Amino acid sequence: MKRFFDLSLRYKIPIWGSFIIIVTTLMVSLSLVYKAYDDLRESLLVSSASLAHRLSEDLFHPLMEDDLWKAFEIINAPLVSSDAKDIQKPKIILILDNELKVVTSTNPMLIPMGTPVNQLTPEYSMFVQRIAESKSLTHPTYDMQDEQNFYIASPIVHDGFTLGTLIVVHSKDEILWPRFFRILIHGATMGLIALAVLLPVNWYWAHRTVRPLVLIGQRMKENDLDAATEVVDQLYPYRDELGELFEAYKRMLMEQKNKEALEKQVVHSERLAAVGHLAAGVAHEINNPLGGMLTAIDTLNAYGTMDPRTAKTIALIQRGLKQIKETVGALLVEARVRNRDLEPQDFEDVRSLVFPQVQKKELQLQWASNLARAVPLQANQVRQVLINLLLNAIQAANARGVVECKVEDQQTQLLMWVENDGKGFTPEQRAHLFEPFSPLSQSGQGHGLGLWVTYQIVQQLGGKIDLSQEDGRVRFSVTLPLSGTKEA
Amino acid sequence: MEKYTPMSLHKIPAAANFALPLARRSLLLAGLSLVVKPLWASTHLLPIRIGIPHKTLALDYFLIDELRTYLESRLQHPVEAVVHGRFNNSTAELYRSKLDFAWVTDYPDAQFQDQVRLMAVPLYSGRPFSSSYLIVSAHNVHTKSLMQLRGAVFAFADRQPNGSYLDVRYQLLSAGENPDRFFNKVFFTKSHKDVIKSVALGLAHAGAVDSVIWDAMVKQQPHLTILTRVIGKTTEYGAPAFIANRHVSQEDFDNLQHLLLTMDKDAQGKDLLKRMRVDAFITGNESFYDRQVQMRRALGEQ
Repeated sequence: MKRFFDLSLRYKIPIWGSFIIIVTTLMVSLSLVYKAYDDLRESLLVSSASLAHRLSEDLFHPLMEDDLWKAFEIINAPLVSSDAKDIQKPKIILILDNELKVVTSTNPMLIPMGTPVNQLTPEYSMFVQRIAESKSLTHPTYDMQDEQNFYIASPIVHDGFTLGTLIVVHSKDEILWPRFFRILIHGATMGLIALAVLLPVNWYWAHRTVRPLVLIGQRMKENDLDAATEVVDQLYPYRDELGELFEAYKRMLMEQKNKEALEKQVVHSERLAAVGHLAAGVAHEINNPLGGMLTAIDTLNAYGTMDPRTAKTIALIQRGLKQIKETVGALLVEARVRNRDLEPQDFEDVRSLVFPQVQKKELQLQWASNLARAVPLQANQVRQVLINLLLNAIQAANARGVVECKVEDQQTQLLMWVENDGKGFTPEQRAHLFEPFSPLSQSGQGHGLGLWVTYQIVQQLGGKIDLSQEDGRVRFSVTLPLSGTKEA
Repeated sequence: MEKYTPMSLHKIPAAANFALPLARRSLLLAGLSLVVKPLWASTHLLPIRIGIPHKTLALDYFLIDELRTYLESRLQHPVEAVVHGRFNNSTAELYRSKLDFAWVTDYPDAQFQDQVRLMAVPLYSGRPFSSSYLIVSAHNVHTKSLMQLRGAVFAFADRQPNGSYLDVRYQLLSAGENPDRFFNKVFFTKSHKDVIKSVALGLAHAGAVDSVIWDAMVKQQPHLTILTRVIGKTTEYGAPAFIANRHVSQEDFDNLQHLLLTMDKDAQGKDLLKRMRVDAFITGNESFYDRQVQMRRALGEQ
């Protein structure tokens, strides 16, 4: 049984449905057949009683006048009915006189004239006995049945004068059962027709209901949540409980996706922060002895006397140390001493600074700035951010392409964005965009620290940097809060 | 129209009154030949009323109507067939209901000897006589004669004074039995066919049936006759006679008699006779019925 319950809903629901339909059809058919059988029996009794009553009325005068042939013809008439299926056609009809002897019967060979009723089959005696016990002759007819036959009796009476009793016998085997089997076959046929209609409808309906569930199950197994969401939208657009369930499931999927994206971002930020801390710490530790070493070399150059060979070596060391200082300096993005607030002129300066590069690549530089006041941001840092972004953009832009820069004063924050029409970043590149010494750095020029430094500065200024790519354009957006820096 | 011979029925007003309702219907049936006649002529055309036995001669209604139409067209006068299947004494009926002619099975009835005239007698198998078979059920292989049927249930076709009922009772009387006590039960089916049926079904142990009809039934309905067995044949008695009421004019008598006697000469008449199992009609002779009269006297009925 458990194996049945483990079956797929695809089969279980239609099987259950079919089972219920079959049981229902069977019960309805059987109850109808039973009712039809009961009606048939009832109608047989009623029609037979009416026949017996009619015959007994017709029989009085022929019997009174001792017209045996006429009496025989009257009782024989219902038996020679041309319709073989006639339900009223009795098996045998006989007339008993008041001494309970047979006057005549429709089968004189079997039941000849003058046979006493107790020489017939016992049912007749029982029946006659019962009629006698009921005493009052007010009933027009009496009936009795055994396994094989119905017996219907009617007294042959006129004005209270009784001549005898008419007994009509119907055979169940000959009339009731064949008729019953016809009803049964009819009922079965109707049942089969009902099943032929209902079963396919049931299978179709069950299939339709279960299909989204099955598909979602499959997609979930394959861990393809996007496809699962699509399935819900396409296959079940209705608003019943199932539809609501699917809708809730879809919402859950979306939330799950958002949450995952958020977590990813947090992890990314934390990683960048940790890397920043480490780099800054190392750079700081290197920077201090480095300063001392460079000072010592300066002192040596100014006051010492060295043979040429030593001087050459010292110069070599000094160049190496300077290179270390540059690299470490780039890593050391510390809030420097605050010099002054950012002014509109700073952006003009930046524009002038990058202009030679723009010209060199024959680019079109679109520039827009609505900043008309001094804002409380450290000018040199903002300038560095913008220069970094612009240089990257110029480098990434196509030859004779477009670079666009826009600065917007939004009262509480400053928005800057830099756009180019160059090649976009792959998702892989985006994941490691702001990391130092990124092996994926497009340029191959510089030290690969530009975006990392930019990110660090923006972080220090309490701002946000985002990358968006659309319509063949790559855009870096930076927002810097104008109030936060004052507290810093 | 040279053959047109109006019947002198207007001489008997009582008959005319009695017959009027039926006469009207018959007039309508009488055929197109009458339509062209002036209206006043119809009062002279009261139909001839002919009594014809139905079941005792085993004639069906189609045959009776065809006979009527045949007589009507040959006589050129309306004919009304009065089917008297139920009557026991058709001669009395002829007289009482003022029929003009009748085919009867009880001729001669002494009581009405003066009122009727013998007109024609049918020939069965070339003889103006009938006889009856004594039949029992085919299952009954022991009974060989009438005298073994004591206490039996016996079926006759008709209670008429002639025919098998008379003959069987006469035989019993001749054998020293009481004809009214010999059988346990006697019943009448009013039709020879039903006698065969009642014996075949076992309702009667034995029965008497007209031999001509039984012979015909052997061919027509062998499934019935095969269930019965003939154990004897009665002596011959005069065949059912065609008689005329005394009041019928000699002219009318002659016309119908001539027609009956010459029926076997034309094709249509011959066909009708054949279907009635009659060879031809002959003038007839009172002596044909001597034996009936004798038997009836012996039984004390006349």
